[in-house]
Amino acid sequence: MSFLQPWMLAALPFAALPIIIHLINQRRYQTKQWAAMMFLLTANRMTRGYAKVRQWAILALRTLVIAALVIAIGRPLASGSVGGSLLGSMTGRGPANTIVLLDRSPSMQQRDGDGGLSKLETGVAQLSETLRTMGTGRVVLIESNSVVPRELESPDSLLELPQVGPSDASADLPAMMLASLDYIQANELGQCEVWICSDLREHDWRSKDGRWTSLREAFAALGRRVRFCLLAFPELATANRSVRVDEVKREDRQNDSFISVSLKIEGDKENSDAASQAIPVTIELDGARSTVDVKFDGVAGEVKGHRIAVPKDQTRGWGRVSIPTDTNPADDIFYFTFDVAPPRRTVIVTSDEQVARVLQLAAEIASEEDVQSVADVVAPRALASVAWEEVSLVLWHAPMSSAREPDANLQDSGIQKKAIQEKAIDERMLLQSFVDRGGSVIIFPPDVIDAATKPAMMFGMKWGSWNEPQDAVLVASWRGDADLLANTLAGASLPVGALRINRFVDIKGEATALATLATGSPLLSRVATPRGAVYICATTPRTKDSSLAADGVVLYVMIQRALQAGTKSLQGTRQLDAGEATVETAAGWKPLTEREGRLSVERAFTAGVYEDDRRWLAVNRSAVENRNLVLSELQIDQLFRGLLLDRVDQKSGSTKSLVEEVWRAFLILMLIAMIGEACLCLPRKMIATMAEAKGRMAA
Amino acid sequence: MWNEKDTRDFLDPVVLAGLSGLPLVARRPMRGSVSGLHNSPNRGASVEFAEYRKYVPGDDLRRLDWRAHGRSDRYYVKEFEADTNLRCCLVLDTSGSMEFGSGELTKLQYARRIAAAIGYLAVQQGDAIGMSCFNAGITQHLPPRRNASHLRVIFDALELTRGKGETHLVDVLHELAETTRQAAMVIVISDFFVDPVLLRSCFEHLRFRKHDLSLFHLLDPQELNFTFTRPTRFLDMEGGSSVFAEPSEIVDRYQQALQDYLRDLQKIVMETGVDYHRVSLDEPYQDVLTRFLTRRATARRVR
Repeated sequence: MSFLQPWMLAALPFAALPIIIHLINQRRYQTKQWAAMMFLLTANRMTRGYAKVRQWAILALRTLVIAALVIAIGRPLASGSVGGSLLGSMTGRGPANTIVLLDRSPSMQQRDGDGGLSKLETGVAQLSETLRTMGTGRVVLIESNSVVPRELESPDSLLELPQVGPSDASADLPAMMLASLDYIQANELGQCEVWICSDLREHDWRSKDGRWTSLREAFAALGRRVRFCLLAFPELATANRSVRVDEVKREDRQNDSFISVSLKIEGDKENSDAASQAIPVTIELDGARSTVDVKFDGVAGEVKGHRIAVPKDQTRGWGRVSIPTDTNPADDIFYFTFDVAPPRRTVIVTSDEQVARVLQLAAEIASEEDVQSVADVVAPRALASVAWEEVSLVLWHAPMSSAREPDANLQDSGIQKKAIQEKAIDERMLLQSFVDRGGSVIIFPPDVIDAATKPAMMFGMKWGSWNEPQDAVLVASWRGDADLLANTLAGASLPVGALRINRFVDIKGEATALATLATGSPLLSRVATPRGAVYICATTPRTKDSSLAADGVVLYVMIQRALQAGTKSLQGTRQLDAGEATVETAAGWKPLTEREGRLSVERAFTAGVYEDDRRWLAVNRSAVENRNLVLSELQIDQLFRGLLLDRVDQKSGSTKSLVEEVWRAFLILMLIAMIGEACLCLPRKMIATMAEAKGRMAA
Repeated sequence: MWNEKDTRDFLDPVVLAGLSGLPLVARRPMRGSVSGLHNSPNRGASVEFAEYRKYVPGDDLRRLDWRAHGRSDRYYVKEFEADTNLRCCLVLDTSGSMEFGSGELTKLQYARRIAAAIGYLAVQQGDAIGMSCFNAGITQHLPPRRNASHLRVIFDALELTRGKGETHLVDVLHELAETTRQAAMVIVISDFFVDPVLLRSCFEHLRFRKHDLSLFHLLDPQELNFTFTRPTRFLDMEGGSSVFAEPSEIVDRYQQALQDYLRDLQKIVMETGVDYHRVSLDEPYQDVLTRFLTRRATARRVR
């Protein structure tokens, strides 16, 4: 509990006055010689327990009267979670500093069934009212989009600030906590309250993020200076559906051109009603609308390859898919763009002819009719001549420069070493920038690996030595659910198990194994990269190394899938998650369509279609927003272990204030205590007389 | 000749003169040694006719009623009531509690006045007066005598009494009931701070011994009203434990205990036929004695 006039609490010791007076009275006794002791002793024995209880009750009630009066004058606020430390309450009006961490993620736009205020609007209104009622010296806002501390003039500014509106980007609570910690340390704040307004979604809080540990330790080091108040909206929507476009392709068939749209509607698995129904999905394409009914069984509904005709000459376009508005309007619209598929160009870097032939064959046979596939074989020394801006896939089968044999023409060892280093750096930079752009790379081991020199690879990986087992090794397991070795669309698995590996190289470094040999060594691994894809294959398609070429299906599918993924970076259109691009990057975007009422400086976080240097970008909420995982109380407690945390659970649209003045209750309490005290103080004779009179009247 | 020693504060000539017109009469027949004002269980030579009795050989022929013989031809002896004096035993409580008094007089001073006045009246009408002072036991015993010099002894004893020690009233009364010769007037002056249930046996014992028992129950107004305002530590005047009490807290229960005690005592004295007088110290002792004597004089006597 906190107080609007906490200095009045200094008068609380006056509540002890009745006790002090009682004690003084006890000490001011007189001594009397007395004859009729037998009556006194008898009186002492009679109802002694009741008399003592009555005496203590009177004292307690008198104390309560004064305490209630003092507290009522102190103007208490009714909330166990609000208020801050006792020291803060005693020294001033509320905490000196308040930092508000505001989760603006799409899930915060959920409304209750009556269509009232969203969680975000409710949270902001309640925060503003609470901070205004409590009074605070400084209010700092850190919202999930910019994650930059912004000092506000007053709590009322929260309602007027455009930066507290809805957003389509997921929040990063650890980053926001880190920003608040930096702000507290940089400004050397004293008593500070950190208000977190969030709906506790796992993807926003990232409870398994390693930053939480360091954050906890850093805040714990600040001691009781920092107090967290969590304004949580953990309630899940009961009838919410979200729409998401999985794929949009432009296809030409004879004289017709059309786009093929695959979309999915998802409901909340736990809270959905099981009734099956048809949901009208509106697809808007360049201003033209069409509607398709999607069968929705309460959990999911899907449309694959829905065709919409487009003009023959239109190679590029954008549109959006929407479903009827439900409790969360943020996930009812999805933007998309489409473009003709660019030529799929593959660069094969190898000096081995056999390998080059196999890979070129696999890369050049297009998987789709309208797609043109080209594969160029280049020697490692000719990398500079490659037109990288047109390449989708790099198949690397060559040692890196640091591992290659020194050039015999260069006699001076110093010059020779420097040249090799520069060349290695160039190769790495080329590949790195290619991957950063979104390209795919599959790296095959070179023929010769000098274990003594510990040949280095890119992306934090290293080759081990070649293993040559007597018998061919089979693939023990592979990931059929995703990535290069995923099952076909029909659900059949690739014949990876039929591969026979005669020679393979140990791969050292942090990578996710997509296929593992019976010996436990990875056959195919994927290196984690922010964009693009880097795969490491532990063998080569040469006949003496493996049956990749002989059983060519697996190799072909691998290369085509990597090629398809790499080609997306070359398309004139692109799909982005909100918040994926930086604010600086998004500053140059021109909106083709976007959500209404959003800030132009927040385009990186706003769903819509934008034009960026002749490329069209469709920005949408991230896929994880569809996961309705809410942190449990236990998880929250673990995240804030050792820190001062108060939690208030609210519902969207709740008009109940977080704080409320309750001095009236204390005055009523005081009156009740006074009446009780008066009743207890009445002489028993009078009580008996009153009872008799009442009895007579009744008679 | 005026003797300064003879000025006793418990003797007021005006009061004694006022009371001298009232006889001290016993309610029961007394066995005195000489002729007096009181009824005797034996037949005597007074002028008051008692009854006719058949003559038996050996009777004094002078007491034959010849008139009756003339009427009935039978021999009857005419008998008359006997009048005798009484032996009055004053039993005075001299325990520590008798020193209590919130007004001008303590209980003991008040008791002295009553005892002295009764003694004076008894001697004046030719009755024997004796006195026993007690606290834990009998501290002083003066057997009943009817000469005037004995009264002086009693006055001296009264003057020297001081209240101290605790009360063992029950034991003392049982002892006096046994040691005092039958059919005496026993007047107990005390505050009777004893359980009334225990007193019942004493009273029945005295009655069994044909004593005419009278009680003067002395109570101070403060004991009756308990008018204290400040917290008080009450020290027992008979040496018992002290009690600390907030008067406003305890007054109702004190009154309850007092009323219970008085009700029980009243019931017992009614059942045992004791002449009981509850006396508040703010009441003039002359009025108390007047009421005592008048009630006795007008009461129907028992033979």
